[in-house]
Formats: sequence, C-alpha cells, structure tokens
Amino acid sequence: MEPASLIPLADAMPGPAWWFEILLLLTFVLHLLLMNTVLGGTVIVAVHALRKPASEQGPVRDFATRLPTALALAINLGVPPLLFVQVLYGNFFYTSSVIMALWWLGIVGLVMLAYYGLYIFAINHDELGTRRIAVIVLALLLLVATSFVFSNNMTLMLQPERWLAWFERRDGALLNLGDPTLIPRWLHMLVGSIAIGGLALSLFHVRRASWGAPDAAEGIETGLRWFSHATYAQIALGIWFLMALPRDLMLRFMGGDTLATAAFILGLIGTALALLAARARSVALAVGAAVGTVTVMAVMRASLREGYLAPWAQPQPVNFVETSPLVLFLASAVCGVAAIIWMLRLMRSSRKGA
Amino acid sequence: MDYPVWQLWGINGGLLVAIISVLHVFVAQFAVGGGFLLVHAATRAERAGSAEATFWVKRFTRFFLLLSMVFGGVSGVGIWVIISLISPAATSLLVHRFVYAWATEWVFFLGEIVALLVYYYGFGKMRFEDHRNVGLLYGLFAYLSLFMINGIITFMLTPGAWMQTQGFWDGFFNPTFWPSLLFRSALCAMLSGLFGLVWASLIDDERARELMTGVTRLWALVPIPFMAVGAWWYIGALPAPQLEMVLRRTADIRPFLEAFPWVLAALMVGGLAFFTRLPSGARVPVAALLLVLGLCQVGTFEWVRETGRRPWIVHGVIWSNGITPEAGAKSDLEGMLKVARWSGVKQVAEANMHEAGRELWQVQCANCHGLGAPMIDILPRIANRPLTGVEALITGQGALQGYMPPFVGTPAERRALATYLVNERDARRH
Repeated sequence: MEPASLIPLADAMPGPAWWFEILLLLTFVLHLLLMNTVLGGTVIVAVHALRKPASEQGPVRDFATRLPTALALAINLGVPPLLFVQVLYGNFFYTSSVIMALWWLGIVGLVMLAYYGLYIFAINHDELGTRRIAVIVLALLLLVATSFVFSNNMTLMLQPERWLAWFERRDGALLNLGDPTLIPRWLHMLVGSIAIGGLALSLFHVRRASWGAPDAAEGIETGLRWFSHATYAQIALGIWFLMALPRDLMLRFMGGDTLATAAFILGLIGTALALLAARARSVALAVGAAVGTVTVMAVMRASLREGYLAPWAQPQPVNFVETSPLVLFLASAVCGVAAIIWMLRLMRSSRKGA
Repeated sequence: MDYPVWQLWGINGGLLVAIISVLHVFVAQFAVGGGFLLVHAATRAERAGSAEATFWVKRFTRFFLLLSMVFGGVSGVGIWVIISLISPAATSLLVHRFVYAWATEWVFFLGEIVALLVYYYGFGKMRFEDHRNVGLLYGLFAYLSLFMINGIITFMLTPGAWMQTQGFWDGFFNPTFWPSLLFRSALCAMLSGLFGLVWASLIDDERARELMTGVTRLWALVPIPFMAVGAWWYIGALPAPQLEMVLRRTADIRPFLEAFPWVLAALMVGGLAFFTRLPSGARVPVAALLLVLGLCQVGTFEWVRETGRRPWIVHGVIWSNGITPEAGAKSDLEGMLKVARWSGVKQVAEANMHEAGRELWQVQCANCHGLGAPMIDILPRIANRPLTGVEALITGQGALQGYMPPFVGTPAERRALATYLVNERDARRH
C-alpha cells in the first residue's frame, strides 16, 4: 500500500495557513514555557525530595506549592495549539492519534493523576512523611510518560511511511519507537524542561526576595545551577538530535533553508547569552534569553515539520475567509487578557497590603 | 472513511465517548452555575457577619478548584481527544468550521481559571467588593464558555440555515441555540444549587448551615420552571425529522422520554418540601438523593438530544459512523472497500468474504455497535437469522431502521458483511 494514498484529504480553513501558523507558534510557545516549568520543576522537586531531608528543602518546597496551579494553566494553554494544529494538520494528526489511540487517550488520565499528585504533595507535605517521596516521584513519572506519548504522536504524524504498521496492529497500542529521532527529540524536550524549570525556580525566588524572604537567595542559586547544568547537557542532546535527523532535514539548519538556519543561529546565541547571564546571576536576562531561545526553537520545530511533510504535499482545498468570527475571537482575547491583568493586579495589591 | 478505525475490544467507541462526555458534562455544568452561586453565598455570609459561613464558601470554592477546574478542564480536553479518535472526520469538520468559536471558548476558560484562582486565594485578603467582582467575573467567564459550546453542540443537532449558506453565524445561532441555552443555563444553576445543598447540609454551625442552606435551596429551586419552559421551547424548535426521531421512531428512548417530566416533578416537590420539614439528620441523604435526580436530568436530556440527532453526528452532513452521504454514494457505485482509504481489503472475492466483511464492519458499524460487547450489541439482533436474513437486515438500514445510517457499498460487500457477522456469531456459539 502506498502511504500517500492513506493521507486523508484536508478540510478548508477559515483563513490563510500562515495566519494559523502564527497563532499555533505563539500559543505553543506559551504552552511550552508553562509545561516546561511544571515538568522541569517537578524533576527538581522530586530530586530534592529524594536527596535531602525535609528540613533542607525550604526554597524548593515553596516552589512546589505553585506547581499544581502552573499545571492547570499549562493544560489550559495547551488547548489553543492543539486546536490550531488540528486546523493546519488535522489530516495527519488525527491519523497518527488513531494509530496510537490507546496511549493518546491515556494522556487524559495521566495528566489528571499528575495534577492530584502535585496537589497532594504541596498541601499535605508534612503529613505525608516519607510517603511524599512516592507521591512526587509518581507525579513525575506520570508527567514524563505524558511527554513521551506526545513526542511519539508529534513524530508519527509527520511520517506517513510509518503509518503502515497499523495494518499489522489496529488496537491503538502502537508507538513510533522505530523512529531514530524519537529518543533524542524526546530527551531534548525533557532536559530543556529541566533548564526552564530551573529558571522558573529562580524567577519564583526573585519575587520572594523582593518581599524579603530569607531563603530566596538560596532558591535563586539552586534554580540557576539546575538551568546551567541542564543547558550544557542540552547542547550535547541537541547535537545528537540534529545528527539523528534525515540528512536533507538536518541540512535545512545548515544553510538549506534560510529561516531554519537563522533560527538555529539565533538559538545558539540565545543559549550562550542565557548561560552567561546565569553565570552573572542576572535572572531577568537569563529568563529573557531563554524565552527568546524557546521561541526560535519553536520556529525550528515548525520548519522541521514543514520539511517532513514536504514530500507528502496534498491537494489543498480552497480556504475561505470569515472576518466576524475572527473579530469575536480577537475581541474576546483582548477583553479576557484585560480582565486577567486587572485581577492579577488586585491580587498583588492585596498581598502588598497584607 | 478517510481515517483508520481504532479497533477496540470489549467496548465500542460510542460508549467511550458517552462515558467521558457524561462525566465532563456533570462537572462542567455544575461549575458554570456555581460561579454566581459562590458570589451570592459569600455576599449573604458577609451581610450576616457569619465567619463560619464565609469559611464554608471558601472551602466550597476549593472544591470547585479541585473538581471543576482540574477534572472539568482535563475531561473537556478528554472529550476532544476521544471524539477525534472515534470520529476524526466529524471532529475535523467542527474544528475547521468553528475554529474561532473554539478559540473564543478557550479564552473564556482561561479567564475562568484565573478568576477562580484569584477568588480562592483572595478570600480574606482582598476588599470585599473587589473579591466579589472577581467572583462575578468567574461566573461570567464560566457562563460564556457554556454560551460558546452551546452553539457548537446545537449546530450538530440542528444546522439550520448553515446547510445552505455554510456561514459561521447561521451554524452558531441555529434553530435550537436559544432554547438549549435557556435549558442548560437553568440546569447549570440547579445543579450547582443541588451540589451546594449537600455541602451546606454538612456545616456544623447551625446559623451558618441555615444561611447557606437557604441560598443553595434557592438556586436548586428557582431554575426548575425555567428548565420546563426551556425543554418545551426546545421540543418546539426541533425540525420535523429530529422531532420525529425523538418522539416516534426510536422505541429504546421511550422510557427516558417518559421519565423526564416525572424526574423533574420529583425534584421540584422534594426541593420545595425540603428544609422546613426535615430533621437535620435526614438532610444530607435527601440532598444527595436530589442531586442524583438532578444528574438523572442531565443524563436524560443528553440522551434525548443524542437520540434526536440519529443517525447523524452533524445532522444532514455526517452520519454517526463518520461517513458523508457523498462518500456513501461513491461507495455504492465503486465499492466501499475501494473508497475507504484505510481498508486492508480493496475488493470482495469468494476467498476473502470474512476479511472483507471485517473491514466493512469496522468502518460502518463498530462506532456504535458492540460485537458481543456492551452497547447495542449486534449478536442478539442477528441471533436467529440465516445469512439472507442478516443481509435483509442490513438492507433495511436507513429505511426501516431510520435511526441507523444506510449501508453503503455494493451488493457483494453487503453479502461480505453479513457473512462476517454470521461467522462471528457462529464461532461464539461453538
């Protein structure tokens, strides 16, 4: 069977593809930053819980209390990229999801349990005693498993030639394990999360330092250390991932494609800048550089997707334009963001008053 | 017909969708009504100067945080995941046609989460008026997300003028949008009242308990007449085919349909009689029972709505097995096995009748039917039929059995499907 004949026809979009690409990219970056904070943050919290007695976990323990909220927001911010990826690549994405349906459906339960694990750890930290280690490690394993399932689906959707496996096994239990890029890509994401998680820990304590919290300096230091170590490891993993790519796709980042190459160079510069900032103990600069780096990495990821799908180009239906629903969305976004800013300001001023 | 079909064992896709959806709908609807209820309760507690009642409202808010924000939010994504696995073509249609409606709903959901978090952590820290306004925003955002999703769900039942114009607003503000919104709004308020009633009955402090019981009882009671009006309006707004489907053509929903007004009446009477007469020890079980009745209302309503939509996912556009009438017509001419991209068998032959039949079963039937498995199990329905009898049954689909989509494909394919079913049935007998 020809893999190309298996690709479903795409549905028409209510707007040009580039517009949805922009929406996808923007919302994906937001989701990525929060998701990394939760995943990487949980790694840090779990390692500290395993290695240090409860009395020495002060700065990390406080950080852990924010993880459930961060996860709730990460899930919420995962909705728009999930929506826009369906708009742009639904015919690829639904297909790969069905092929690995059992695992894909499983993420719903995994994420929910992980949330309650993080919540129990944060709220009942002292009452749990040593059982808290089991709770946080379990929450971490659930999140790691979720990330692995995502990496599988995101790579499987790009490779129709691997879809043929479905004819041998139709119960949705397949993964994309035969793909040589899967493990380096997943580890690249995972270790990147630890780096961002470290920065989030530092940022959390920068705010606490402004209120005069005694262990804030230690928290900042710990976070920056995690960030730097994970980023050094990330350089090695990035090279592995790059080398594992099919040659023509790898060359996109070596001059083959202007945008991809520019993003790659900017990513390297951003990484170096973030590491230098971390050495200089400048959390704000490190965070700025890291957010910029994550953004260009997301551009690289989009470019890679484009490269993977290029040989499978489909006849595109004629897209249609609907202005008023777009206005509805943009207006709701403006009002929603304004309301959120107003509420957060109220929260801040009430804290200062307290 | 463009997508692979997930082969499930022991459960069918329709049942999986139903389980996840019902769980989500219970929790989500309760959360939608709950936002305003929390503000009402907090205001009453403040006015009465009852610290115990305020404390209760805060704990009730935490319950919202844990149940509605997390379970509601994740299970909402879960519905998306499961429908895209079971009905990818229909999901794709809904996503592409209503992308901005989904995106807008997401904005409201984000606002809802932030408001709920600020409201919870702001208890006792903010000025009362500010805190109340945040609560009102929470209620408003939650309600607006219902408003958005209501447009898409009712579109599936009654696409109305969209069938001619394909316009976003024609689909969104379709014939059942407003009656459904009224009904669901009342349902949400009632459910939040019933949940609250159970919780309020557990308060130790008598004054706080009476105060909060009064508030939640009001929320459980007042919406009931609005629900009745909404249901009546809803039925009246249904176009003839959907109405006929609900009222006449499906025998299997009759018990639900007949139970509906009775459950409603039981709720009303129970709610009315409630606190003036019951001893405090009986309150919790009675409140819990009322809540169960309320959930039965949700279940009945959703079931009736789904049944009215049969045999379609989007009425007139995509059948419940994900096949469009256009693809069906093509299959009748060229053969479904050839048209279905993911069929492993492309043509029926004497030697592959069973395998070809299995492919036909997967694509056309497995979404709704179990094969020796729960929910509309096919085996009892073909128990005593010979091969020709099973073929006749398949031929009657879409005509004699109007609640089913028609069989699509060639006569040889129909025979292959019948052969597969008879083989499977006989294999289970031995």
